[in-house]
Amino acid sequence: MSCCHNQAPVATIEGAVRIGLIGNPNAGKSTLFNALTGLNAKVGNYPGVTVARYVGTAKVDGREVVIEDLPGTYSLDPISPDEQVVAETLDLDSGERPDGVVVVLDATSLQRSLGLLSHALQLGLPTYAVLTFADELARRQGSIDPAALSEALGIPVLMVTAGHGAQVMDLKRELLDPASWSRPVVTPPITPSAINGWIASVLEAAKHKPAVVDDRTRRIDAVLLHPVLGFIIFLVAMFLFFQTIFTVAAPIQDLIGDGFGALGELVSEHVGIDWLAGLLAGGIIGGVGGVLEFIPQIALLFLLLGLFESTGYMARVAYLMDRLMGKAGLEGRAFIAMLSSLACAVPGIMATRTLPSARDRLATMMTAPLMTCSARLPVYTLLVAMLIPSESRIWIFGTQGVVMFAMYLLGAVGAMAAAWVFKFLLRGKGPALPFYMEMPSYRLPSWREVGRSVWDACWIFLRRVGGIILALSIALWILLSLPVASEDRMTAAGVDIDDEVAVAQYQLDNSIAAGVGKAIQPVFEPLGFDWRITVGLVAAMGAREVFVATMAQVTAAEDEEDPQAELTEMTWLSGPHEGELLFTPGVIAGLLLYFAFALQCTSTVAALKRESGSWKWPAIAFVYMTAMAWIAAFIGKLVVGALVG
Amino acid sequence: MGGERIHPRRTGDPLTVRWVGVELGGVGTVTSCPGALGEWLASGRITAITAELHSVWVSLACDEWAEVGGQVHEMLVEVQHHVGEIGFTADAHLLERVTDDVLNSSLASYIASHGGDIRILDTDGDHVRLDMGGACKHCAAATLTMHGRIQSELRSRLGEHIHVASDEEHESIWNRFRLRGRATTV
Amino acid sequence: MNAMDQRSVVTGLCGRQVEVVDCDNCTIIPLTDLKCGQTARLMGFQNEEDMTVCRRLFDLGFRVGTDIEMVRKAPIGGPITYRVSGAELLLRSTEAQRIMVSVA
Repeated sequence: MSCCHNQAPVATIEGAVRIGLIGNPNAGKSTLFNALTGLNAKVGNYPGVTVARYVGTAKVDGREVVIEDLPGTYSLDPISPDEQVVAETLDLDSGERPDGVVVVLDATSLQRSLGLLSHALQLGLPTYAVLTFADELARRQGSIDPAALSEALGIPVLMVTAGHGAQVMDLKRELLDPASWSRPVVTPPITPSAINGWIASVLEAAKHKPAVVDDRTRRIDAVLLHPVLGFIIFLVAMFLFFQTIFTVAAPIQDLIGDGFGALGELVSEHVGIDWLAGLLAGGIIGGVGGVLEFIPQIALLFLLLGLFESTGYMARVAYLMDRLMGKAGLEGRAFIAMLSSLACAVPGIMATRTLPSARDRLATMMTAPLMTCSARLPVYTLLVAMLIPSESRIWIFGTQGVVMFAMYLLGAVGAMAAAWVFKFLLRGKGPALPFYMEMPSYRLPSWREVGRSVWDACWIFLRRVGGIILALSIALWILLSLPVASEDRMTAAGVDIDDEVAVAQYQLDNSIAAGVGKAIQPVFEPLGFDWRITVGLVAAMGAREVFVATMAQVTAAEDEEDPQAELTEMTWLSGPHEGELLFTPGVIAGLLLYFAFALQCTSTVAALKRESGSWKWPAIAFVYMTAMAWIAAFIGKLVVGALVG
Repeated sequence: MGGERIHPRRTGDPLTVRWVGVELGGVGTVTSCPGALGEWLASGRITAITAELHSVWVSLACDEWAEVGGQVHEMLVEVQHHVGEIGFTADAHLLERVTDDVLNSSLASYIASHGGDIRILDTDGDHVRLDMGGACKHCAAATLTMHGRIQSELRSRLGEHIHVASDEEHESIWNRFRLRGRATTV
Repeated sequence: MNAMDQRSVVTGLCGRQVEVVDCDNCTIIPLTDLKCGQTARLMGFQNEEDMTVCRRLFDLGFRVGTDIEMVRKAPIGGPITYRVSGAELLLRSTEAQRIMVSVA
């Protein structure tokens, strides 16, 4: 019998060492990742639920280690696309195979997570085991000897508690040289019963005392998951959450708004060149400033979502909402995607990766954009203010707030109904997978992690503002300013050259944008929208927030500081309604409904294409949502018009 | 699950792996056993199989553990069903080997944390004599505890008949404690 | 579903008979029959032909020989909470019905 030779390990890649981080969901993997990489992580996609792929660098002893936080997975045999990412990255043929793998194991559920470790060890990569929640294990009267565990497994083991900087430093040093990590002499078995035996044997050798039931979590769940009480608490929390956003964020918002207003004025006064001043003040500052005002709200929303996720309450939300979601043919976790969509549809769409069923995923991502995202807020704020006076009250709540809440509710109901339809239409596509979901222990939130997700969200929002919104604002300004009307033309049309307002109006009326708007106007005329609103809608197709800035520019604003006043007084310029008030209650209601349902966001379209794999689905989404929006606006205008006149 | 509650461990020798959890029903060198394991042993692919009470040392002729580890695992699971057919002879070196393992792996951190430096002096049948050095040298109480732990560990692996003795100097101190503590029996 | 004849329980992976279990002094029932707070030992799967399901359940901690505790029933039709291998998991009754456990 010939003596076999040992295979040399896979050749290392030039440059920094690359480490992959894997582990069960809820095992504390992301907290560890944040501790290792600090603020050095690049966000590959949107944050929100921890589904995005994060790559960061850890700096230690003057060297760098690249760490990739792979999505949480229960097994290297994938079921959902989430898990697919992990399996593909770690595959032998993958070009992105890391140099070493750190497997994060929750010390309170080792019996289960060692199963994942046994799979990971089959990969043949240097492997390091990190045990998290050591403090919780101790609190729940469990214990384990990490050194003995390391001996039994044949790989290095480190036990950590979140917040211990020294431990993280030790780990970072270890990551510099995966080739030096000890490897098991024989890889663990692969058949289920053998794996079971291996786990039991290893845990016995490690003197494992399993944690007892988490009393604290049980007691809290007895209340928060109570079929009646739990639901009520959830609803109350949701309602208060919304009210807070509009009252807490408001003062900060006003500050930002005033700041930009002052800036705009400054520019108009001091910049000599007319068109430049116009571009800066109107196009850029006006366009962008109005959107930046909403950062406080976005931050608040992501803060709350982050807290839910970090403490473990999110799973309870999914549990409570499971039955309701079931009415739409979905499951509890789809609600989390919907909830995330309240901040922005993009993380919501990406959150569908956790849904194992392909049908559920598709149905959820196609309808999540109906949830009231933060981009709709500037539009709603403007329109609601035009529709309802701020002093108005219903019981103890401001009417404006109630209407806003109603809009949120409308988005939610619309999303559910549409999801039901999609589930119905998609029946027969793909196998029905089993439902399962984990309920993690309640844990104190990792402020670092929550802070990071809020920061990332704001940063991405800013990028979007700096990108598409800025581009649209400038483009719009150009289209509204060209062609520049000559004095002769204006005189010939009977415009008094000395009257600034008249000149501006003529300019506007004959601009390129006006041409486009008037051409499309017939489509929206039944809704009571004139070409100016139409231009606003077309511009908003890229990003909803742009609508507000567009309307400001379009009001040939004499008073730029209060476009709302201008808008309220706007009248039809021509046609059958000439002279009539443009923004009647019916039209405003119609506009509100239009924005509630229409798909007006290039980022969403891009996300849909990415997640569904083709242009077919975003196209369908665009068509059905626009149709829905038009019909709803029509009905809205009729009804409100009839009620209010 | 039965005989599958096992896991492999490295030893100082790359050709030898200790399979913890395997119970062959006897202690010592395996001379013959049924099934595939027996075939491998007979053919020389496995050079030696030495059993403790709850684990077994398996040595291969060449370093092919990475390739055949899984097979050996299955063979060990299988052979535990035919425990009556396994032949043993006593292994004079087993006690030393196990004591060495205990001192250098299972109790290594415990010993080190007490500043101990323990070496094997010699073995004789069921007896092993240790030099309890290091920080424990002058502390009779620590020596006592340490001695107790090592002995109980060895007994759990090889049987209750194992006896650990420390060298002369400490033996007498220890005996003094023993005599004082108990009314009779030496 | 009634308690079954002990001998006919299939252990190991679903659909594949690995071992027939002889189980004295215990009754084998589907997981859904457990009462709140009751613990039982997983013996195997019944009528579960889908390998994906079995594999996923294994990954989640539902392994032969492990103890499962029924924690919480949901309102009608909702998923049931079980505690297994140190973690709490939700399962629908469709899946839970096919998991066979033994109560001493």
